[in-house]
Amino acid sequence: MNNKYLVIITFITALLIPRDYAFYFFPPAVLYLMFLDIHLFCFLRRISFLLFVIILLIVQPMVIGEKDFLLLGIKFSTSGFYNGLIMIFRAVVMIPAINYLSKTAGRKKLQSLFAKLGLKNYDEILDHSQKLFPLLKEKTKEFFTKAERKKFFNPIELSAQLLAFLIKASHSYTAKTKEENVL
Amino acid sequence: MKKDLDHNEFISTALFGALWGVIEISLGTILHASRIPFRGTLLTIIAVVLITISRSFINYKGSMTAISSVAATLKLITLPGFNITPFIAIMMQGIIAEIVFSFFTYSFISSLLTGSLILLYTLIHSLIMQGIFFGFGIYNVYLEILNSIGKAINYEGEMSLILIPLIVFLYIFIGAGAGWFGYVTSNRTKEILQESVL
Repeated sequence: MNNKYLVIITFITALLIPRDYAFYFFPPAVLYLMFLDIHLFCFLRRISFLLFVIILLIVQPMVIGEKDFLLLGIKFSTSGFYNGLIMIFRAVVMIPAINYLSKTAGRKKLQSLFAKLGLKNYDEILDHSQKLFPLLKEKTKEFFTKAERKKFFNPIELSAQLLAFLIKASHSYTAKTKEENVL
Repeated sequence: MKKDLDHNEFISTALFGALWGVIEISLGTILHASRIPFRGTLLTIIAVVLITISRSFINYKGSMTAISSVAATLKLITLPGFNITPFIAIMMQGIIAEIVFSFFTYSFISSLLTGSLILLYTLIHSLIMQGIFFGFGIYNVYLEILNSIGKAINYEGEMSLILIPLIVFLYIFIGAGAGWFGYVTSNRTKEILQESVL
């Protein structure tokens, strides 16, 4: 079976699996995703994820459930710890699965999705936006070197001046490229 | 049959979509690298400002969805890694703005409302994503932690009943502020453009 469909099944199972069966499902699912692409697990090193690990594995057993375990003079709940462990496992399966699936979302698929949604001239707008990228960078730099001389202290004035500058630049750029295409 | 956009609408949609995309990619990358908290909220505040400004320039039906789809696609295809949640968030911001601006005409009040709802969505979005990834039991964990903090500082009632409305109000207030900023900036931008024409 195609890996994509297996990952979708893994994702849905992780979402719906009852707590009692979770420990039998999550380890093989993690192994499967690791064999698929180990880089999917880069998020494990993120501080935000480690914060969740601390909240779910250390703080949760201290505040939720019956305290039936004593460690370093602090009372913990084993059911709270078990619950936290399942939650972490669930995320360790679901995040790589959705990460893998998001990699398969190419521009063509998005285009067909947005076309179905009825967005007017989506392809042309996206193409033109990508062409405007370098222009926006260049003009923003240019504006700030100019603005430094003028000293705009009011954030509204500064934003308005920058926007007006970019609007004029993008309109003249489009006119210029249109002219070049005609010639 | 869908009607094609006129030249000005087309350029403005591409410009605001690209601008939002550039901010999401460049500032988003900087904020991500800096690892400061509330990165998503900061990006949303800027998105609200951009949305309220862009609506005064592109007023056709579906314009907000168009610029958000461009920005979301640019973010998804430009950056490597885990970008599906920002993609959903950007799309939802555009859809919220589209709904508000289709029910109310573009005005000071509708800008404030759009800003508040988008910021409120940002708060809910992160909670929904955490619920999906870690399980919906995580909300119970948060409530218990908040109430334990209340007990630790000798508060008799449930701390979550004070803190949650406070956080919600704060997000609504910040969103309204961003909406106000966008509305005022768009008016001033139009004045500058008119002055330059004259």
